[in-house]
Amino acid sequence: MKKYTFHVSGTHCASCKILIEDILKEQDFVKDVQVNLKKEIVEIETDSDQNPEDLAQILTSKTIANGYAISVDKKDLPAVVGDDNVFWKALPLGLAFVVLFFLLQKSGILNLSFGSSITPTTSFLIGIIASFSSCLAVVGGLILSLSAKIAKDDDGKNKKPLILFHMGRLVSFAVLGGLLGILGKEIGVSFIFSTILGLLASVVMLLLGINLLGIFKKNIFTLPSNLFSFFRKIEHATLAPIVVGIGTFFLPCGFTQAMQITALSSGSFISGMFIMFSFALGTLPVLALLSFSSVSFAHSKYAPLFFKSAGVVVIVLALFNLINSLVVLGLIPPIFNF
Amino acid sequence: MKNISISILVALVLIAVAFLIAKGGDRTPLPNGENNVSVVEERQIIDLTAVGGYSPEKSIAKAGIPTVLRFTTNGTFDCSSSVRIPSMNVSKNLAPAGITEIDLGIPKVGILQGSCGMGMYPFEIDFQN
Repeated sequence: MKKYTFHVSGTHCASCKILIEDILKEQDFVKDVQVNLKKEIVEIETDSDQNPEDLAQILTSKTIANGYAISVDKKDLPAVVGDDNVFWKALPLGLAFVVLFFLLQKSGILNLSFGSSITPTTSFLIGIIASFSSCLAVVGGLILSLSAKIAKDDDGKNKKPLILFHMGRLVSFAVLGGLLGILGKEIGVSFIFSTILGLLASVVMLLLGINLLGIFKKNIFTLPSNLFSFFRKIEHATLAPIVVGIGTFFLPCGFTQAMQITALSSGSFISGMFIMFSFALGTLPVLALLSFSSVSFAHSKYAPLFFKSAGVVVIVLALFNLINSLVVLGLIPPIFNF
Repeated sequence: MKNISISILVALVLIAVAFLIAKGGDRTPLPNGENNVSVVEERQIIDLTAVGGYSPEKSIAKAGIPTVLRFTTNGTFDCSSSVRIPSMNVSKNLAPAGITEIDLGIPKVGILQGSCGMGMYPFEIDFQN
C-alpha cells in the first residue's frame, strides 16, 4: 500500500470535495481518498504499482469530465480544467430548458378559465398553473439562482434557508391575503413597487447567474461585497430567507396579482387568507422541486453541469424579466408576445 | 472543438424553432367599422377580451372623440388581468370576471401601446383621423 499526494485543480465549490472523493473511490486500485480544498491537494492510498505520474493521469481521466485535473506537480495543472467542456454541454441544456418554458407559455395550455367564483380549491389549482406560467421566470428564476448559489457555497447540505424561504412564503401569503380581505377594495399592491422589486430580482438573478456560470475568473468578476454579505445572510441567517419569501408576494406576477384582487374583494380575513394560502400552496410543488433538486444536484457528480446549466437558465430568464420591466415602464415597446 | 460546434448548432436550432413557432400567429388588424370599436352616445368604445392575452391585439379607432377601453374578463387569472398602458400611466387590475372600463380621454392621432403587467401580452390601438 502506497500513499501519494497530488495537486488538484477546479475545486471551486465546497461540494467538490465529496464529488472528487466519490469518483476516485469508485476506482478499484484506490483504497482511500482525502481531498483538502484549502491546500488544493488530494491524498490517495493505493495498491497500484504505477508511478505517480501515470497514476495522476489515470485519475485525471476519471475526473476531467467534471472539471477536475490531478497532477504530481502543481505547475502542470491548467488554470481552469474542463470548464469549457462543461460549459458547452451546459449551454444547450440550459437553452433547451428555456425554450421548453417559452413553448409552454406560447402553447396556450396555461390559458385556462376558472369561472368567477373562487374557492380555496380553485385557487390551489390556479397556483399550480401559475407555477408553470411566466411567473416562473420571476419567482422560479429567483429561487433557482438562490438555491443553486446556496448549494454551491455550502457543501449542498444546508437545506435550512430553503425551508425557511418556503415557510416565509406560505405564511406571508396567508397573513397578507387575510389583511387584503379586511382592508377591502381600495388597497392594492402598488404597480411601481412591484415593478421595482421585479427589476431588483432580475438584477440579483443576473449576478447570480453569471456567478453560477463561473466563466469569469474570481478576480475578474466577484459579487459586490455588500451584496455578497447579503447572500451569506440568506445562506446562514434565519431572517433573510424569510424576508425573501415574503418578498415574493409583491413580485410582478399576473396570477398573484389576480389572486390578490380576489382576496381584496372577498371581504373577510379568513376568506382572503384561505385564497392566498391555497394559491401559495399550489405553487409550492414546482418551487420546492426547483430549490430542493438544486441541493440534490449539487451533491451529485453532475454538480458542475447543473450549476452551469442553471446559470444559463437564470441569465436568460433575468434578461427576459429585465426587458419586460422596461416594457411596462414604457421605456421600450413590447417585444415578447405570448 | 467538436463539442463547441455541436453545442452552437443545437442552440441555434432550438432558437430557430422557438422563433418559428413564436411568429406563427398572423395578426392583421380587422377593418374598422365591423370590429370591436363602436360609438355609442358620442362615446367611442373599444372592446377587448382579456384572457391569456388581449384580443384583438390591434384595433383601429378614431382620434379626437371621448374614448373608453372596455375589457371583458371571464375567469381571467393570468397576466392579462393586470392592464398596463405606460404612456398614460395606467396600471389597472381587472376583476377576474366581468367588464372593466378604462377612460382614455380624447386620444390624439397615433398608436397607443399597452401590455399586461409583466409585459409579455401586448395590445395596441391605432388612433386615426
